[in-house]
Amino acid sequence: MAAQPVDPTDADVISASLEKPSLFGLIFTRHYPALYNFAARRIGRDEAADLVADTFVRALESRATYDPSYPSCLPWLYGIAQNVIRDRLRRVGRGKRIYIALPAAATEEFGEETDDRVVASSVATDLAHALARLSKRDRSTLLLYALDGLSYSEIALVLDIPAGTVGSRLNRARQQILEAIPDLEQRTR
Amino acid sequence: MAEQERHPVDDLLRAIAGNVESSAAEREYARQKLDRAIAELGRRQTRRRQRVLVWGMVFAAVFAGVAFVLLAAQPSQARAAIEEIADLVEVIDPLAATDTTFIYTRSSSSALAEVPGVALGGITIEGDSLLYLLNSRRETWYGSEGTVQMRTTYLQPTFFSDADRDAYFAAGLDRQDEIGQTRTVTVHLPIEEWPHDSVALDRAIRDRMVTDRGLPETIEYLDVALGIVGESFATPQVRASTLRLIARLEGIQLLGPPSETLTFAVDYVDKGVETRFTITLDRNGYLRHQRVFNVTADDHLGLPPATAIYEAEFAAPIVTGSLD
Repeated sequence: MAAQPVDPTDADVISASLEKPSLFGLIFTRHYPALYNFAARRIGRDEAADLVADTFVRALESRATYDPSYPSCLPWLYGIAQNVIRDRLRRVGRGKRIYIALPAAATEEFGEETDDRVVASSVATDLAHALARLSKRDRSTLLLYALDGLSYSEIALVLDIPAGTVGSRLNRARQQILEAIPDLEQRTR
Repeated sequence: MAEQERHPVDDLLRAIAGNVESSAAEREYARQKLDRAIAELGRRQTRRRQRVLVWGMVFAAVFAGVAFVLLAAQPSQARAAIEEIADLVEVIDPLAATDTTFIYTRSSSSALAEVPGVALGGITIEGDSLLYLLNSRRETWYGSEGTVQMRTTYLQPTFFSDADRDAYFAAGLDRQDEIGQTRTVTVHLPIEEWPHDSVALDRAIRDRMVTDRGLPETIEYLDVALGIVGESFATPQVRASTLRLIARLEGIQLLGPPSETLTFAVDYVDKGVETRFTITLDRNGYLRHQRVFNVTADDHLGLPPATAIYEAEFAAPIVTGSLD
């Protein structure tokens, strides 16, 4: 049984970056792709890079507050990104944009087969409407779980809620979407 | 990432949202914005330190009656990049062997060999010497008490011409070089205690340097220092201190932008031939690649420009319970 050399954890790097800020560049290298995905799915590609840049700058400035008991800082970065998104939407008054980005991506993603694309577009539009009707908390929980692949405890960290609350929010969100699109499974089969 | 339970709503969301890839330009834009923020933060920290230093110096000057001039030097790119790795190395949990496990490393190398024509047993060659690259693969297992098992396999050499190849085999050098053979030896090496302190470490490296090969001091220094970096027994503090000393060497330059690995070079003249020594380190400070090549033609040996006379590639060390 072979053990790989131990890479410094995010917590190690962030801790060392307090003295040597340039080390924070390694956090960017590790997590830019995931954070870009996170941002692009929520506010669209046009502003994703700018939002990610602001997120990393804000994270750099607040790195002293990072809890080193979490080896991966991705949930922490997602939490900061959520705040950056919130601030931006508040500033420009575009509260609806957060879920409009979803079906817009869908029409591009579903390849060459016309039938698939039609189905996808139609389902995507219904899904977007259903997502819009969810409470903001339930929607964030669902997106963090389904799209960003976070665990319950990581979602709890991002949203600053007890881990036990994540499961109930997730179930409620899924249930409401199934109620809004009762034939979801048939339409996507 | 934890295994997630599946749900049709989640599946649909994933299918519709897909994976959104960033363009290189977007990534570069975001990185530059962060780098500017890092630079500004660095300047603020430096100003804070300088203020503290200036006040300390003011007090010292009052007492000693001495005036100080504060000179700030801008570290080179190479220095900053190597020091960044050193800072990381210091916070990494070191690999450690136990009674039942070993630190295992693997490398392959290619080194120029020169056999004088007179030593070829009557085989005639074009020049004064037969030149070839001797290739080998080595695996090393470091035990906890200084026990080292080395397994070396000698591979087919690389020749500069067909005539050289014929002369090599006709002279029976393949048997002498044990081509195709694998040798395993176990030795007990005393675990060297290198000092952590940079001044003492610098002195220890200089004490160990070879001085009669006609090579520049920087190269001889690097030779010893890279041995420490590559030595699996060295503590993270020693490896970090060694990297910081390497960072301060005269003439060290960074090749390409820093990424997951960092390659730097030292140019020097060896017996009239312009030569370049390149070294690649990974983010954990492990030596991953070394190369020495002549930039200009070596008329003495008859080698064209850009001939690698030594090249070695190293895998990152791992801990293993097996000696096979």
